Amino acid sequence: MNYIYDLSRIVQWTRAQLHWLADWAGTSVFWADGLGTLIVMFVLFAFCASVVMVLVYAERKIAGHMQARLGPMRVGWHGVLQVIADTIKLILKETEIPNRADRPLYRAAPYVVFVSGFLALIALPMDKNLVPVQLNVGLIYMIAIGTPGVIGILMAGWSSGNKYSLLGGMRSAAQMISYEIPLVLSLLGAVMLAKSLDLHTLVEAQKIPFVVYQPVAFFIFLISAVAETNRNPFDIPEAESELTAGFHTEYGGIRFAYFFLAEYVNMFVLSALGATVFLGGWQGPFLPGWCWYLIKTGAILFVFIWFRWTYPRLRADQLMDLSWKVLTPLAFINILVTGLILVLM
Amino acid sequence: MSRPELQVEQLQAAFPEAKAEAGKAFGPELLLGSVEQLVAVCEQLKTAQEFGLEVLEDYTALDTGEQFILVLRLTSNQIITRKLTVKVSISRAGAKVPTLCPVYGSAEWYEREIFDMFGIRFSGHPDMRRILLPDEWKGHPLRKDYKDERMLKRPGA
Amino acid sequence: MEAQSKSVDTLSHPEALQTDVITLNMGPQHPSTHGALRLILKLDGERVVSAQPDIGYVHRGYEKMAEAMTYNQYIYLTDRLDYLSAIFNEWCYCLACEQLAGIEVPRRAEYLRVISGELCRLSSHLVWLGAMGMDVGAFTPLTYTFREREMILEIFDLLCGQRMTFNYCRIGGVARDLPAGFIERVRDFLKYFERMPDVYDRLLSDNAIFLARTRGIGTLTQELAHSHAVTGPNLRGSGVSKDLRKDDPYSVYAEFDFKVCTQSEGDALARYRVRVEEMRQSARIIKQALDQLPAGEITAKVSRVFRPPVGETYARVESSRGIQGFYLVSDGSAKPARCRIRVPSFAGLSVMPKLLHHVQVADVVAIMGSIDFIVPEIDR
Repeated sequence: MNYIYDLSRIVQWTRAQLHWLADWAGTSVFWADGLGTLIVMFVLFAFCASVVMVLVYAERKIAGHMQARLGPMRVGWHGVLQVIADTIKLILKETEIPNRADRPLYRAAPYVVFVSGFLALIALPMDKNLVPVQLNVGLIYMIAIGTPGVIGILMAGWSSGNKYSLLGGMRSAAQMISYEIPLVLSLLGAVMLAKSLDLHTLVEAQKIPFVVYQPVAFFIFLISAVAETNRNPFDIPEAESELTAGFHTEYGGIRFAYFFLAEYVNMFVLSALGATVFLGGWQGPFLPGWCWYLIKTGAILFVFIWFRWTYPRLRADQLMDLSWKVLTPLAFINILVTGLILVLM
Repeated sequence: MSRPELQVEQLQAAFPEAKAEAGKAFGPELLLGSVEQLVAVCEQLKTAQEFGLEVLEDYTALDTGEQFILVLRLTSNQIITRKLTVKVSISRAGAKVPTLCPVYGSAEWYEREIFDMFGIRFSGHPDMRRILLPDEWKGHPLRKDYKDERMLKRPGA
Repeated sequence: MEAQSKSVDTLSHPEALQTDVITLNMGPQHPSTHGALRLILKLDGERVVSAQPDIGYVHRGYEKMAEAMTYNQYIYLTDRLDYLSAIFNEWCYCLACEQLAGIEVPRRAEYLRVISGELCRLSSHLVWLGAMGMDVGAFTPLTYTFREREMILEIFDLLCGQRMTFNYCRIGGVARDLPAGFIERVRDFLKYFERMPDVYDRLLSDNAIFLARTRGIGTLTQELAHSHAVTGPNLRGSGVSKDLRKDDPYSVYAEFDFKVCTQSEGDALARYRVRVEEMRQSARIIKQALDQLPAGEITAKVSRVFRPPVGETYARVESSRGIQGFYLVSDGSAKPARCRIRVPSFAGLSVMPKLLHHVQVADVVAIMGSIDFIVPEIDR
């Protein structure tokens, strides 16, 4: 085994040290685990922030090269420090609240959106032994914890006291609720194959990645995931050209940064979920597991970015049509066919 | 199929109370005797088979100092080279001009612009407001007697 | 309420839901109004109940200014009307002056005007194509079209030292002859540009989402187009083959072989197709003009102080947005007595309330993009 790259060893080692510490101090293991949780949260947040930074830079570079331009080039080598400069700018900016805003809601909204995306990260297994919290209903947890994000967006849209934001918030709510259904249904096919809701078992069950058995489900998942993260071609809640950024029109500074962070964290979470359920998660030859996990997630993320810089935007009603008239029935058929095959075999 | 170009005689025969001339600028010119005829004449020019001028390409006014002249440029989208200028003089002091909105859709904005720039009011217009200048603007700039203390004198003018 | 107490099928009678109408001010600062235009939308949910454009935010009093300036002084101002296809404004104004004074323009000057005019039409359509993509949410076409537009602007820079407001036409001709290397440069560009409309086609035209966003959207019927005096590509998108270059040839357009592009549907997609095809035709015209370019003078003999005889004239050209007209009245002095500017976008915008009736909010942007108006020209 290649110890240097095996991150799970570090986690095990940390846990062992913490337990030893508790033993030595004569306190219960509960406190050690509590401390461990805090450390995990902190590490996860740092992970989140760095993932978003890499993602934003990657997106801007990829977009640039797709659009016959260079992307950021000024700050650092090929603009690598651009994201840090932007972050500093966002943090230092004055945070304003519009006069007509509903202040408590307006303040809370970005954090609600961010937290729901962030919490979903907890159940994601990044390697064989590297998962912050091992849940036997991990999949359900991830779907469920991601849902309150829409409340945050609705709060932001409503509380800004701006009609564009209101329209954006309403669109967003309708869209996210509609796409949650095909998203969950598409995952069910994989669950039936693995006969488990535990993400760990799901990955273990994939000797051959499920995308081979469930191509339709993967396709539905991909489209729904793009819609769930409000990205082009489904970015109608933000719709630059009509709603001038929609629900976060009135946000600036650090609050906007949280929306921004949330968008990319959500994107990462859904890509990672796709990689876990359909592409075989950490499994793969030669490289350590977490490398495979990042490569597979990155591949899906690239497709997200690719979509965004290629497609025009759908209209709100066309979006609904796609969800209810195409994707949802297709997902049901997929479940039916999967079930039939499982029974007959 | 009627002949492509409108003829002065043809116009004179159709509109005896107006005066038809061979204009230089934009097809023949039809000078109306009074502004009351305007709507009826335009209606006929638009709907009658031998004219078929269904496009009001431009509609503007002219201040000669003594009177206003309304200038209409009519064309056709079927017989494209066909064109006609209609002119009618109106007095500078609050003449009532009937609106052309029911005949030509484009007249709505053109008439608002004429009102904005010359202060000519159109009776029966659905939305007689200024169009380019702010609502609280004083005066009508394209009148020859328009004065504004903020207007600069050109040196030597 | 009575209506609510009864059971009403709200699917087939959405009005029974009794929702409130909200008023949404779109602009004057808004990414999709293409300049300082304000659109007052009344919305029932996502549906537009009424749309009322409010113009005049960049009104500069062009018609009034003309009365205080000599004929020659006014040329450079006309560039700032439709700044994306500035040549047509100057061209039309100079044409009107020439008609007033009965000046014969040398053939070489006419050819130079045609070449610069068609290049301008290309660059204007390129901007429009990118903006149209932006309006329906596709960012990438913009960067592609601006790359090509940049090349055209550099060609103009070579020709007259300006990228957008050219000040190139003069009464009786053009300001300067072609610089060295100009013809080769344009030929190189045309060779490169030849396949670009196909590239744009691949980016947008065959894209299912783009088709869904534009097909059957904002249908401009012929009756509406006639009634509102819509001209140019918008009219041709409704199936009326009207192009002054072909039907009422001014300048030397009669000497070129090109097609007038029409589409019969009248929707946003038809207008899009017309403009993309027009780019190909413009490139063809430029190529022919370069081949046939005659030698000779570039300007007629016109006295320094231009005093046309008493009279009036109305000159029109086919600009990239439709029929551009200048109505000049001369009282024999060095300044025009009246200068009226007929702009295509004014008519194009006046149909807006009709086109935007009962469409979705997202369609408002797509329709506005497909009509391709330009605000400084409307406001003058």
